[in-house]
Amino acid sequence: MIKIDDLYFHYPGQEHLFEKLNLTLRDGAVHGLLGKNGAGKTTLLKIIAGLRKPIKGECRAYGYDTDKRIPDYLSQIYFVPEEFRLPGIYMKEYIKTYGPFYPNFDRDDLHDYLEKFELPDHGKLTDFSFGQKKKFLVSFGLATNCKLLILDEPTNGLDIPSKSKFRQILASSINSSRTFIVSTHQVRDIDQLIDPIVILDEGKIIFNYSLNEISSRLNIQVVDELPDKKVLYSENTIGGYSIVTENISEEGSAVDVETVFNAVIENQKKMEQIFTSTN
Amino acid sequence: MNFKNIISIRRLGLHIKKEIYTKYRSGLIAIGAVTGILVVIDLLPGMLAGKPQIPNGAFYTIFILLGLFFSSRAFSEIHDEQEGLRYLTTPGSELERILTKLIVTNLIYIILGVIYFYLVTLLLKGMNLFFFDVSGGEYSFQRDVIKNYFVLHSVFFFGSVYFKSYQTIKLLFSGFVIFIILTIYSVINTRIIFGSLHLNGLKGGLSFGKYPEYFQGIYDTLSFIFRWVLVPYFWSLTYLRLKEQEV
Repeated sequence: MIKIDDLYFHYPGQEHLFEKLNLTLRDGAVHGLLGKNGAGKTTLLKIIAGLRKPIKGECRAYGYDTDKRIPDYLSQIYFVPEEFRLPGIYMKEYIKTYGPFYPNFDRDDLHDYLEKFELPDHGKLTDFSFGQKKKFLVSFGLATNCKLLILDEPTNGLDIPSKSKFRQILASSINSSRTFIVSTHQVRDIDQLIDPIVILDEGKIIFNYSLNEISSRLNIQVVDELPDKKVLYSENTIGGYSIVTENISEEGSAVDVETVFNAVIENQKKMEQIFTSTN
Repeated sequence: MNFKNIISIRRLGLHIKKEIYTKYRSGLIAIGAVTGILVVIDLLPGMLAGKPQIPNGAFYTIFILLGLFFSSRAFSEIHDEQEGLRYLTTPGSELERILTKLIVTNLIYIILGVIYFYLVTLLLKGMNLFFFDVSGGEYSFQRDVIKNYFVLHSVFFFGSVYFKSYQTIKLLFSGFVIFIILTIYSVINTRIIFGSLHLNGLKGGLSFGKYPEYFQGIYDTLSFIFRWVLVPYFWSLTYLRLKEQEV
């Protein structure tokens, strides 16, 4: 489990990015970390990975203070960044060099993932396209069998079939002892994968709910005309309007993550009321 | 705390292996370039005057300069966000990271350097005998060069973690500035102690008169600091700086 308590953080010479940030991420889930540009998603991931140190407060994961960068902790996490530069070595050399750092690294798993992504299992890493490099890093990260896999914009640079493969592979790799954190702008790419949804805005976690909770409290539908009843959020779509209203029935509604995100950002207070009042 | 989280020989070995795997290509390029330069330096006097000469002086200069260049780039990855992320999240303690860089840029560099210059000498002697019928000299590599490299390395090693870019140039510039300041300080001290505003006396061999023990003391202290204090001091600073490094 990852627990962040009253965390403060700012970059040198800048205003606070996080003030009194609190967040708990449970094991066995693919957490979708969403937020607008500059909300601090990547910084939060870096704090969890021990790459940035909080000014105040603490971030603990699996019993370790993340900012201490204890080797036992580092061997349980793998970070796939949005942008990266791979060393100019061959894939086999990379596997031989970096694999042994992770106690649960499994070469067979890696070959399975590479095969699923239709990647060659040889060749110089710097000769690969950006998408291929990303697929290799995701495969390697999964094959480490780390407890925590951090993916920052993982679908950037992936073609359409690869995005689908990515969802399938990630969904089949999660288990009760692992935690995946996926930060992205491209919500549609991971729509059916993430649960719960965590929304970061202006340095605070403003939303952290499971799909079940969302579906039981919100109603998302497409209508021809905007109804008279209270609409929390609406947007024009080809078929009319996509609207979000409070779910007052007992039945759950299908969740469209992008619409939920927009609704939360636009109508934060009302959302808070809906979700806290029924708790 | 678990001792293995401070240092693990297995992980240290993995870090050294990783360092060699990812950097050996630039090492090979450097060896190729240096060998070319040494061959030219050796053969040029042979071609011009028929007297080729094993360039022992160039060995020392190249050994020191190349070593300082590599050591000033030892931690270059931590100043690059993309490479720094991979470097700092690869499992390992700060002690292992620093030991790895020390072993590669210092211990392994010295051992390989001495072996390399010995082999180059054999090559050059063979070429000299082939072209000019003379060997052109013998292999010699002074221990003092290694001792001095060891100390200078620690300064450049710290610079590699401290400066974000152009580490070598900034270090040379800083060294130059420190040298100027120390020189001015020494001159002022000399003038105060000897009451002379003229430095010409230094050229003619300055007699310390009744203060030989005092100056011997200063010399011994400075030697001791240079040999035994600077190295651990800069290593410690490097460790502390690396520990607080963020990307």
